[in-house]
Formats: sequence, C-alpha cells, structure tokens
Amino acid sequence: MSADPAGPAILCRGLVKSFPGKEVLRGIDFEIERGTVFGYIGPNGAGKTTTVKILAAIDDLYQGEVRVAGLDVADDPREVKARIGYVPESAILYDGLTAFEYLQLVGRLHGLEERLIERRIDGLLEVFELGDRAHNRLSTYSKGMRQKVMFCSALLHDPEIFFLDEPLSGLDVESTIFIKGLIRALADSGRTVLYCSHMMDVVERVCDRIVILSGGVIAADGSFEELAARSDEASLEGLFSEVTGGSSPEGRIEGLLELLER
Amino acid sequence: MSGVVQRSRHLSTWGRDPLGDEDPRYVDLLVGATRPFRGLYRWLGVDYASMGHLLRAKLLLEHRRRKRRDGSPGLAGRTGLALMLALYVALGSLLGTSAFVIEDPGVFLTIVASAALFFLVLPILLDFSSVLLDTTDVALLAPLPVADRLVVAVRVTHISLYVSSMAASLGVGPLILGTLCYGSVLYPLVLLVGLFQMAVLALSAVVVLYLVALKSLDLSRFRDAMIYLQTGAFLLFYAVTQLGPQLLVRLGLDEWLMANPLFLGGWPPASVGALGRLGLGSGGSLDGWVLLSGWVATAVTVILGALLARRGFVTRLATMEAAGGSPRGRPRRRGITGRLGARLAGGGLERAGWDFFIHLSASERIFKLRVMPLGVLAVMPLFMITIRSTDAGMGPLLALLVYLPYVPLLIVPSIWETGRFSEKWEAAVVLDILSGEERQRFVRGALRAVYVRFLVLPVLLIVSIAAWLVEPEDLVGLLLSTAVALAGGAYALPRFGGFVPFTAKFGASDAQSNTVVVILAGVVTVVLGVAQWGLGRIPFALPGLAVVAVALILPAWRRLGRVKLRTRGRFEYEPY
Repeated sequence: MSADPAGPAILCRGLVKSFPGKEVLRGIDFEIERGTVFGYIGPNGAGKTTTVKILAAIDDLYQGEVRVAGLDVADDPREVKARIGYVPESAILYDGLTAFEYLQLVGRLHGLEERLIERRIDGLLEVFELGDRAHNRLSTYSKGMRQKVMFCSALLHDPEIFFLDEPLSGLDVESTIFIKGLIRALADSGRTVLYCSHMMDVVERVCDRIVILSGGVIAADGSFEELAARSDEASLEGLFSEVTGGSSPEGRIEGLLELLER
Repeated sequence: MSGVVQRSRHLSTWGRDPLGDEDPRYVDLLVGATRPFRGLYRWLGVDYASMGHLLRAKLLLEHRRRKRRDGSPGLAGRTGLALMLALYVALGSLLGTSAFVIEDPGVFLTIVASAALFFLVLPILLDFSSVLLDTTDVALLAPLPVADRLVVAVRVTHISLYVSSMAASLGVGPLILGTLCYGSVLYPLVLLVGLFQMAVLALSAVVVLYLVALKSLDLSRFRDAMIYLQTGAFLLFYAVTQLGPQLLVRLGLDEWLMANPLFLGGWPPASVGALGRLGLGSGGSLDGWVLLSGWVATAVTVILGALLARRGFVTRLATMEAAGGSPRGRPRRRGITGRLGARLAGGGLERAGWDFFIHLSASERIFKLRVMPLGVLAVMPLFMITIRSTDAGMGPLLALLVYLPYVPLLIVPSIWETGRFSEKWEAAVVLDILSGEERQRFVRGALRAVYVRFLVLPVLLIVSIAAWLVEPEDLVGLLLSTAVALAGGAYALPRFGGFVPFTAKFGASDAQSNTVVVILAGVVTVVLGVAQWGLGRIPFALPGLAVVAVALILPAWRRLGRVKLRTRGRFEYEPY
C-alpha cells in the first residue's frame, strides 16, 4: 500500500541534477497519475536515464522534490525500491547464477515467502518462454533472454510502479509485441509505468501521456493527440524532431556518404 | 515446482549449462559459520537472513568462477591463497620462537597481536579494498530494496572469511610454541580471542577508512584519490607499527612505557597481552584498564563502521561508477615507454599489445590500486633490513643499495599478474577477432611492455642513483645484481604469462598476490643479498658472474617473446 493513496504515483518538482561541468536536468516538473503509461522521451544524453535513476532511488545526489508512491525518495529510498520494478536498457545480472537462482535471490531480498517466490518464478519464466532454460547459467543467455529475466525480476514482487528504460532492447518481434501488450495491461490494472524509449511508434501507441525532454528541460508535455494538435506533424517521430530541433537526417546521410567516398 | 521447471531439470540435457554442477557444500558451511554472529549482525542493523542469501550467492559465484579458472597460471586464486597461508604459518612460527626468550606471556602476546594486526591490515588495505569497493554489481543491487549496511556487511563478511584464515595461519606457530613455553591451558584460549579481536579491529579500521573516504572525497576523482589514500594510509600504518617501536627503543622510551603501562591502553594489541596476564594469574593493577581500553577501541571502530555504512554506500558506488575515471583535460602524452615501444616492439600486433598494456595500465583502477603502492611497499622490508643490519654492524648502510635491483625483479611478476584484471573485462571480447598466433604476438608485446616499464626502467633508475652513492668497490656487485634482475626477469616473466591482460574479472579469491609478493620480496631479497655478499668473499666470483649475467640479457629478451598462451578452456573475458 502506498503512503498517500490519493496522491500521484510519481511527483517530480524542480528536479536539478548536475555532473562536473554539466547540468543535465535543469528543473524538471511533472506528476504522473496512477494507472497510466507515461512516455518519457528525448535525444541521447537528454537526461532520461538520469531521471529514472533518481526516481528509482539509485542516484541520491540531486536537488528538488521527488516522491514515488507517495514516499519521499530522499527520506525512504528502501521503501521506494520495494514498491517499484526497474528494467534498464542493459540487463545487469549475476552471470554465474542460473535464471532460477538469480530470481530466487531477488525474491528473497524483497522479503517474499519461499513458496511464493518459487511459484512466481516458475510462472514468470513460463510466460517469458524461458522455462526450459531456468537452470542454465545466465552467461549462456542471449541479450534478449537476459532482458526477459530483467522483466521477470521487475515483476516478481508485484510492484505498483514500473520504470522501463529502453526495455525492448534486444528483444525479438514476438517478445516486443508481448511487452507492448504487457505495458498496457499493467496500466489498465492500476499500476503505473514510466516508459523511456527511442521507439516512437511504441510510445505513440502505448502511452497515455508523453513528455519530451530536451536540453535538460521539458520541451513538450501532453497526450499524443494533444501534442499533435499543436503541430503540423502527424507522427510522434516528426513531432520529436520538431521539438528537439534535430537536424535533417537526409542532409547528414548525404554528408556521410560523401565522407566515405573521399 | 511447476512442470516446466521440472522438465528442464530432468529432461532437457541439450540445453543444460555445460558448466552446471551441484552446489559445493563448503558454501553452505561458510554461510552457516556466520550464524553464531547473527545477534551481532542484528545489533549492527543488518538483516541477517538477507545477508546470508547475498553472501551465499557471492560465494557460489566465486566458486564457479574459480572452477572455470582452475589450471590457469599465476598467483591469483587458490595458488595465491595457499601460498599466502603457508607464508603466514611460516611468519607466525618465526614469531612463535620468541616465546623461548620472552618470559612474560603478556609481552609475548602483545608482540604476536601487534604482528597479527600488521599482517592482517596489510592484505585488507592492499588487496581486499577492491572487493569492498567493487562497483561491478552495484547496478544490480542499487534498484533492489537492499540496505547499504547489508551490502557492506556481505562484503566485509566475505573478506573476513579470508582474513580469519590468515589470522588462524598466523596463530599456528604462537599457539604451539607459546603453549609449550607457558604451559597453561588458558593460553590458547587467550591467543584465539586476541587474534579474533585483531582481525575484527583490522577489518573494521580499514572499512572505516574507506567509508570516510567514500563519503568525503569527490566521487568523480575518487578512483585516483583512493590510490594515494591507500598508499598514504599504508605508509602511516607502517610507520606506526614498524618504525614506531624502533624509534621508541632508540629514544629509550620502551622501558619507560613498560614502567607506565597506563599508556599501553592506547595500543589495542596490548590488551591481548593484558588479557593473557590476567588470565594466567600474573596481572598487574593496570592490566584491567589496558584490556578494557583495547576492547573499547575495537568496539568503537566496529560501531563507527556500522554508522558510516548506514546510508549512501551503494548509491555512492553507483555514482562513482557512473562518473568513470579521472577526467582528462588533454590527451595523454606519449611517455618514454610509449616511445620505446616503437623501437623495441616487433610487428604491428606486438606493438598493439605493447600500447594496449601501457595505455590501460595508466587508467585501469584495479591495476593502479594494486600496483602503485607495491613499488613503495616492496622497498620497505629492505629499509628494515638495512636498519637492522647496520645496528648489527654488518657493514656500511649504503652498501646495501647494491642489492636494491632485486626488488623490482621480485615484484614485476605480480605486476603482470595484476594486469590480467580489469573492471571492464567484458570489453576484451574485441580480442576475439585475433587468431591464436595473433593473440600470442599481442600478448608478447604486452609482456615486453611490462618488462621495460616496470623492470628495466626502475632498475636503471635505482642503479643510476646507487652508483653515485656506493663505494667504487661495490660497483661490480651492483652490476651483478642489475644484470641478474634484467636477465632473471626476462626468463621468469613468461612463466606467469598464460593469459591475455585486462580480460579477467577481479574477485575476493584473487586478492592475495600483493601481500604474498611484498613478503616474498623481503625474504628473497635478503636471501639473494646474503648470497651475493657471500660470493663477494670469493676472488673473481662477482666479476665472473656479472659477465655471465650481462651476456644472458639479450637471449633472455628474445626468450621473453616466447610466451605460451593457454589454449584449453575459455578466455578470461567471459564473465565469471
């Protein structure tokens, strides 16, 4: 149960984050309602992953107010971590363990009961089509399979909020379709999903609300329909380029080909 | 258990991990060994059950990784640990013989406890800091609801499994010889309690040092700062424990200190002596105070460590990992070794291996953390020997500089050995494009770079300084030790060279080689020095041997190129 069930799932107010010589986030403000999929997109280095790490209580060096599940991330990072599921772009796992051993460890660190852990691991690995590899070491897994294990790990303790940072990286077509459906289903069942991706078509299709981050500030915020209404662009891809001021890909490709021919 | 999992366990043989095996029993035994301390863990705010789960996973990973590496050459892993424990038994036994001349068991126990503190802090500070500050799994642990104290507790417990085996090895000699000399049934018990106290104090003191550094230093420059901190802390500790007592003796303060035991309360190992005196019924009025103050100092260090580990450990390690190495404002200049590479390394791949090692050794944290203090530390025993031998009237102090070239010879295999580890070991997958022969040429270049950078250049530096300081008649001896170091290094190095550098993950079980080398460097330098000193008494022996050794340098250099890579098994860049 959350500390403030009536409040937003995630609240971010005046979030500032700096690295030596560079201010990555320059005052980010947003609130995410429960049971929604929140698309958080931006060019490389815009600060998406940095924001997610702060929200997931992984990075505690920031300024501003950040609340997740009604809890202040700075005051109660462990409780926040107990209520979230996190899937990063690259799966970081104990490669010498099997998938079953790894998930068992994660379940135990979440304080789940042994029987519940085993039941959930079996179920999750079956759903993600890894059942027959459950007792193989993770070092033998492909990138996509590792990513699926990360999903299992994020779902194992049935969290109320998910942070998915480029989660489709390395997944095959079938798994991508499955994950898209899963993200939608999670939100429809009352859970909240913050979804970072460069796959604009997926964001356009699954997200209730989209924030475009550019230069450390929010450049656009609204549902896809709202954003499209403010622009001539019909696709999120076009909208993204317009908002972030990206240069034309055609010109860059031409320049590259010239470079190779020289 | 569901049908799916059962199927995979019993039927799916094709998909089974070829490395799969039963969990070793010793992992459960080691985790079980922490059970008597579960009250202590809880008192320190650590969830014991979670600690056990995480520790078990760590030990299992270590076991599987070590199993995969079995048969690999070098000082890391089981060989290093066995060698280190054997050295500690030998050192302890040597220390134990002093029981025959020291009448007061309290004094003997204080000496043993002081030595134990020194020889336990040494590996923790030098070798196990990489385990404590390991950043490779913080990204995995950071999103989990794991308390910082728990992560610190797991790492400290993991290290303490090694430290306790070292303490036990060190205690074997004093236990047997002390029991024989003092003939009390309580003596072994006092010694065991004392060694346990010293192990706890050594471990918690180093943990406090690193946690304070982690909290107070700029994380973007932490990796570089740690190297200086580690070296500085060791030099300070060395001065206090080794040079301090000598200074007291020289100033005549030792007798005063023994007459005023109140001040011994400031030296925790003295509390072991006080416990011995009290336990064996010869305690004085102040022994209770010395005992209490030693125990309080130990407890305060433990509590301070627990307080510092309360919050921020994992996030700070994650921040440190994200911050990377030290920022480089301008491109690194091509140093003397880089320029020499153009002349000394053969073809393209050999040159590539040379540059690969030189560049990575300048930026790899594990390498810098372990190698930089090594040079300073290896010379330390020589200084001790110099002071002692001068006291004993063995000859002019400066004459001992003649034997100094032996020190780099002895530490350079450890440098090469350390060079196998990297924090980014997976990056070495790029070397997979090389065929066996090509990889061999690549490693040959790296090995020659180590030889030139860490043996030839330091030896030449030492020789050029020593040549100015020693007497003219000692120059032949200096030439001999130099030639032996250069030729010997070139012959010895390939024996350690069956791996591709910067391709292996560093783990707790790899963390003994530095201490072994520092101790061996001291012992072997003395042996070589004494042998050479003895040869100096035989007419023409030194010049003759020097000529032979000089003649051997060139063939040895050529031989250095004949490194044989391990062909069986897997390459080290495979994780775990």
